[in-house]
Amino acid sequence: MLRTIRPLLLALLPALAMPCILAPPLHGGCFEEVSLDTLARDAGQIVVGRVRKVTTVMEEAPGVEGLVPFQEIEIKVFESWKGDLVFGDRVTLRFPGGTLPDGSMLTVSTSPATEDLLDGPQLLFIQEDCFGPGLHGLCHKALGSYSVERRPDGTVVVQGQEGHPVARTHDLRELRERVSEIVPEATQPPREPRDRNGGERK
Amino acid sequence: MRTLNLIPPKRRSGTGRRILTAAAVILGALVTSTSVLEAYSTFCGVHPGDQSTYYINPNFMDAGAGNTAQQIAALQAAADEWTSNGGSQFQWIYNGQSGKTSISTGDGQNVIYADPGNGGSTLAETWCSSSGGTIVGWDMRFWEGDHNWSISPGSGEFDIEGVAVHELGHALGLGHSSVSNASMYPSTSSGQGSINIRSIENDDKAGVVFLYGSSLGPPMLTSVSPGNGYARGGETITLTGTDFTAGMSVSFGENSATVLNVSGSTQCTVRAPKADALGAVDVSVQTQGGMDSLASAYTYDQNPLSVSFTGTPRVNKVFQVVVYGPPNAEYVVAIGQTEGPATIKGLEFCFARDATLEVVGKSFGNRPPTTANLDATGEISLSYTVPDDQSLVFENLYLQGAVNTGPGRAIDDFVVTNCVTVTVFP
Repeated sequence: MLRTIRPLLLALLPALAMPCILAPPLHGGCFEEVSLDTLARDAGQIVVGRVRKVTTVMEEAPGVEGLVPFQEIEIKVFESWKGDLVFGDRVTLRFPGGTLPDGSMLTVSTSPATEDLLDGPQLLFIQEDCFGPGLHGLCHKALGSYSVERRPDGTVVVQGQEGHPVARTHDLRELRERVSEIVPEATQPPREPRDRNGGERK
Repeated sequence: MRTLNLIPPKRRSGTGRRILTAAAVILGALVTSTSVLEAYSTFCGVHPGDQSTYYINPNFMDAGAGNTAQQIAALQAAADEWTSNGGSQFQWIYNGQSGKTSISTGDGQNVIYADPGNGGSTLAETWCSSSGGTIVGWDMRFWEGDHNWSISPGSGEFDIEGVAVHELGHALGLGHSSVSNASMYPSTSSGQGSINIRSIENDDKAGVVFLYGSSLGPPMLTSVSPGNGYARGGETITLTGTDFTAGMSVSFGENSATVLNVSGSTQCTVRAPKADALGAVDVSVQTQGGMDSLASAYTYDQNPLSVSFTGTPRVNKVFQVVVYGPPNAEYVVAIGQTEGPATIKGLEFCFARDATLEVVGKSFGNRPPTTANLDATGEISLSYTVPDDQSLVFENLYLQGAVNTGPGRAIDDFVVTNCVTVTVFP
């Protein structure tokens, strides 16, 4: 009897054969380990916002031959945890990578994935003016962005990533309080994010 | 008749970094009970021809970084880790030294070098160009201005070889992994932490096999012995064939067997899983190299009449009763006691398979018997909780069961398979 080919199983086989992996020690590494304390202190601005516009610009970059595509991400600020940005401000972040004029892609291992940033609101730890006046970057690069999600029960959470300063999922308010303990000088009155029509969420 | 299934590797292209954990767990659960946590992701595409060349500029200046030959040896060892231990068809090929000290991914020369600038928390980074999911070129720089590099790092130093293993994972197409002991985990510490990632782990191997396919040949299953067993499973079965590997999986029909031992590449012993129904099933073997199956290679026979107990009856404890017999047969059970109070209170049975429980107006000892049907393979599991009632004295409690061996027969005609006397210890 001819059996059906199950191609997915081949991809899964290595995982099927291995035990559940749970324990430290931590390995890996593009990045040196960075704590939340360090990330919060190093960031010039900490905001919750949503990407409003993505553009690609070709510019020179130190240590790189020729022009490099940079993703410029315009963020609308919903909430500021540190720095002088306020609700409704627009801030532009930049990081290397993107589509070259010939249609090929440049990907950099330390840059965040643009599609991840487009997936709803983000908590962003911003390094100011690192690409010139008004052109900010992510503090500690890909370690500085986290998705924010509203769950069906109404709670808003920050999705951490393993190996990042925010490694676990946190309640947004609790994480904000934690950050305010780390950087007590960085207090802004919390503001509720607006919905797509510009109205305040209830 | 046997069939041979060769499964080509599935490749993902593009720059997506979708984590595969959920799919792996869900689909993996369909074929195995092994816990799965797979979290590799993809980065920038795959190399054509399952290989890529690289050059080395051994220009690290840190005191611990060693001389030119030592730096080259460390970086070659990192590449060889993926080639030799990844289990995939992918190969890194060293093309020699280079004097390049800048990123230029389109120049046809993929170079690993040290940059005297500062990376902050970034230890190293890989820049990769791709077109249509195919990697065109890449370069890798280690930030040396604000990090100390070493071929044998102590505290405060980072291991050239270990971090190179991570970056070469990017260069072959892998993104970061959320598995904490994987070389592709995003971050590391100095000293021993960075040495640990010299060795790629299961999740890293799963990732490179996913991208480039396995280096192993497909297995071939030639015989299954014995070729039959009871529907309840549990028999030890020997499989023979070729290209068996440790970590292989075996299925009887749609059910995963427990692999007990893999002896060399030609023999494997397994414990047969419980049947879904009586009759013949295909037996399949699967390795990283592919899958093979023998049609109707194993036949599930009717279970023998038997009742088995697990656990010792004690107050507030559960003991299990498993009854085997003909498929769908009616089973009658009664509980009584030979001594003590005339009335036993609070006795209850829970039918593990949600069988309909009905009381039949016939008494077996002190309790009316209850009935349920065995399942299609001729099995039913019952659990009995001894009630916590100090006023009761349980002595010589007995469980009596009978299996109706034919449809339409009266209970009196049941064949009593077991008459078990158990003593309940308070």
